Amino acid sequence: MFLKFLRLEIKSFFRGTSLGINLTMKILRFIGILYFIGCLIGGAFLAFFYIQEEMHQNPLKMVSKFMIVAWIIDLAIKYLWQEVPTQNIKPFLTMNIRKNTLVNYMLAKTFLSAFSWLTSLFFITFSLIALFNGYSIIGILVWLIGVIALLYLNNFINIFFNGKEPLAIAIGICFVIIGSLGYYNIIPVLSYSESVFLSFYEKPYFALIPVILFVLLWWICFRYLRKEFYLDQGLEAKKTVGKTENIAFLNKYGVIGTFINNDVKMLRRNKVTKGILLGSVMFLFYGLLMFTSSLYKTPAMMMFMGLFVTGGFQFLFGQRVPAFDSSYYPLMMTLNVPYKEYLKAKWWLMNIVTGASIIVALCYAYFGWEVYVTFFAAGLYNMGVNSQFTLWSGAFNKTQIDLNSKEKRLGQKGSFNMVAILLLIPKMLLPMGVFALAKYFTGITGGVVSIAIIGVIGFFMREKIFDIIVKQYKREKYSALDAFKNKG
Amino acid sequence: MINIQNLSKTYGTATVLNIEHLEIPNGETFGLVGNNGAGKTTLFSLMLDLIQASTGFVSIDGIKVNESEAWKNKVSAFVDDTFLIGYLTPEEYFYFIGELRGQNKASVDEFLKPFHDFFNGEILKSGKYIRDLSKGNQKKVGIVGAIIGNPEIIILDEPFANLDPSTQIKLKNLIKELSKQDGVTFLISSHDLSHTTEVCNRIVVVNKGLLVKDIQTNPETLKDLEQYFADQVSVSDI
Repeated sequence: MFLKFLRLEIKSFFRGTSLGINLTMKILRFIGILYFIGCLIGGAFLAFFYIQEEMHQNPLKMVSKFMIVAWIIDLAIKYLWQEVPTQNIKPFLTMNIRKNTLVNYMLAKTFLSAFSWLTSLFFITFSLIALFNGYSIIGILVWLIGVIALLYLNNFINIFFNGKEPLAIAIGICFVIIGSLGYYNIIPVLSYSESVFLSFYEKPYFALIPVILFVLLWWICFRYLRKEFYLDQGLEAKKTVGKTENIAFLNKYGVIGTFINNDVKMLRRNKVTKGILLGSVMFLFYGLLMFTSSLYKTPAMMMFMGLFVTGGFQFLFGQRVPAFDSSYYPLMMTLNVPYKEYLKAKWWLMNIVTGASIIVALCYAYFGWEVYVTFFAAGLYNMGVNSQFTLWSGAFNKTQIDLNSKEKRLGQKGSFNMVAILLLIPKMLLPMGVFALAKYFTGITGGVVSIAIIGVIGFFMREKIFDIIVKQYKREKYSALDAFKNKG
Repeated sequence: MINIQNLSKTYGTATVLNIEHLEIPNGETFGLVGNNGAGKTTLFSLMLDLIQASTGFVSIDGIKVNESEAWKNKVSAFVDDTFLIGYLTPEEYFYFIGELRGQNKASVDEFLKPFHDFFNGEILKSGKYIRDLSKGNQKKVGIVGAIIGNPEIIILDEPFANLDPSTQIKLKNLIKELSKQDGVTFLISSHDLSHTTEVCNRIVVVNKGLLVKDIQTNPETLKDLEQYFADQVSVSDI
């Protein structure tokens, strides 16, 4: 039975997203997956030999020490992105398959998710290296089993947490407290972790604990799901209460206001867009990178960071502009709104957020006004020039986006295209170059002013540029409509 | 008036639609019937400029739909669930469409009043997003959305499918009323011959992309159509 299910899984993996994606995309996706695998395997080599040769420490000890951190990060990632695969189980419910088998299938399915098996790659490779370097076979084997059992435990914990946000937040806060206690050496969390995980290696019978835990949680999870294995209980897609709301003052701005209102609702009510919002907030902190290396202190890199700090939302949202509307694109294309108005609304939304980011970025003035004025100029450039370029590159992004599904298959990111990469030249390299040169020859004032001027020119040329973009969107209309029909 | 000239759509070597000439005058209730794959949705998609014609064109009041967007002022459509915005509540969806069609919140509320019966109390103020409504209720939202803002031409693809019997009757009355009182042109495709003959004053049958029958509805029409499809079955071996 499981073999049959496995065959279905393989089919869904290769067929699910390949619709509408051409061969180059498939190859790129494949390379992407290989790259990830390479990174993890390479990372294992690096971790082992760097610790052994450079730090002259016991690699196994070191990895055990940080295992607790890896485990918590793994749990957090799974909670945020991994969904319990309840939806595609439905067709099997009425087939001649025992429910117990289906529940186990659903549980096993979570292990097939990339989040689960990718981390295992690291630990398997690491253990293999350790084996070849004279560690005891039984010890390493047992250590590996223990570690992987603990990591897979997270899949079950995730199932319990799903939809219980307050509980998850409470536990998150606990982790933060424990983390800071460990950071300030009040509780030696890391050495506890070291002794626990290392004991798997030294006293193999200790590894029975995670294995027993794993089996126990599987059993509890099984009972939990089995009891709710009905369409209107556990298998029901989560519904949220719909609230009719409206940002009233936007109504003054006609069609554009209506569209912005709608986009705000879209951003707030869908899982994918919530991720974008979170990402945009993270980008605000991007400038803190300047403390990690002097490399970031060059004028060009300061500009680079400024562009990301102020334009995080714009980059993330703008390049998905028609794609976010993909599930109702035919409606958009038949409503009596000219294309230009549709794009303008998106443009305003992006620039309002960029404007807000420029204000929030004032915090960077703490590190010197020079930093802030650089970021300020970058913000102006984002508003005047990049907003248009980002919309332009969006026209080529024809990935159907299912707004309300959390999990994305690895390498599904179809937004890669040549045009988007070529557009990086005016978006990133041009301001970086201009700023670096102007600052070199005329000082910080000249640099900031020259970037700001380009931004303002772009701002006033926007009608002209919009006309060009609208033409592009019209040219891509039919192929976009066609591509958006292919659900992932 | 909708005018279709030499319209064809070809995918590779397969021609899925080929209509030499078709005129739909204003105020007509136009029914399109045919089996799956006959080209009904293709025809509607071409009229709405959602796909590109291989040859020929569709023009609405003399404006070719693929050259100007002016037709969007006159036409509204509900073809399938890609015309719904899942993350909105039904009210928000109606306001959104209404505002784009020159209405405001108050006039949309006024417009919705007579539909409380049609919605059967399950749609307005239900506290649900459209994506969480049942298929039938989604369809109701889509159909009512297409009527907002007094469009001159309304295109509905299979409006009767998925609706409960009472709602089917209500929908038929609604279509009749709108076409009689406001002179709205309706384009309706359906698999249900009796509904179509009841509301439409002209029925066109398509088969494998070709226009095979064009009938002004009369008391004999239903029988004719049933006979036609029955013949199709006996001609092709089952």
